[in-house]
Amino acid sequence: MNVWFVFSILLLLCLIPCGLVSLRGAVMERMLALQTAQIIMVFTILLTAEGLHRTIYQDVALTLAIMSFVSSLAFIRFLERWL
Amino acid sequence: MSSYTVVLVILLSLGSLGVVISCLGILIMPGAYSRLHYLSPAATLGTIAFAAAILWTEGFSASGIKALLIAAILVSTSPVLTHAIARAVRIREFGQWKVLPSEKEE
Repeated sequence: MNVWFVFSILLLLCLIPCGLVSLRGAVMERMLALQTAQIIMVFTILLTAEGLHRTIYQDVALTLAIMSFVSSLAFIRFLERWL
Repeated sequence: MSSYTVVLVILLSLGSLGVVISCLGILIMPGAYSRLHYLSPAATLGTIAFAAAILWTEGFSASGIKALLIAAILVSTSPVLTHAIARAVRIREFGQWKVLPSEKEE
């Protein structure tokens, strides 16, 4: 249990408000909470990888950072008019 | 406690502060436009502080450079996403994003 894990657990707790907002409210507010949760997850994976001393796990965070951008743009494009 | 640990904890606390502000803002603020502002603390303050913490530990190794790359991606894509979400909210509301005739100043 080092300092990296302490902060990654704190970040995991921060997912709870995002989850609450994702479950209620207007559609775009849910989208916004989902986007925040994705950013928090990138940080959590990054800190966990550092705490475990596994550089290779940082690739997961890198991939999630790129894919969250692309997926959000796709979601937003459809939420604009058709959904 | 060494100076290394002190700097590390300060950097990680700064990053977590950004994330906590983001979460509370998303939870508390009313309406999509107000909530939109709280996407950026996590994406800027959080990213830069966490990348700096990893860079402080690892130096410019493969791990540190990868953290910098993640920071660069998140910092550069967050404004684009904020703009796209705001545009989408407006289109859902009014059917178009351009200025409506009723909103033009005389």
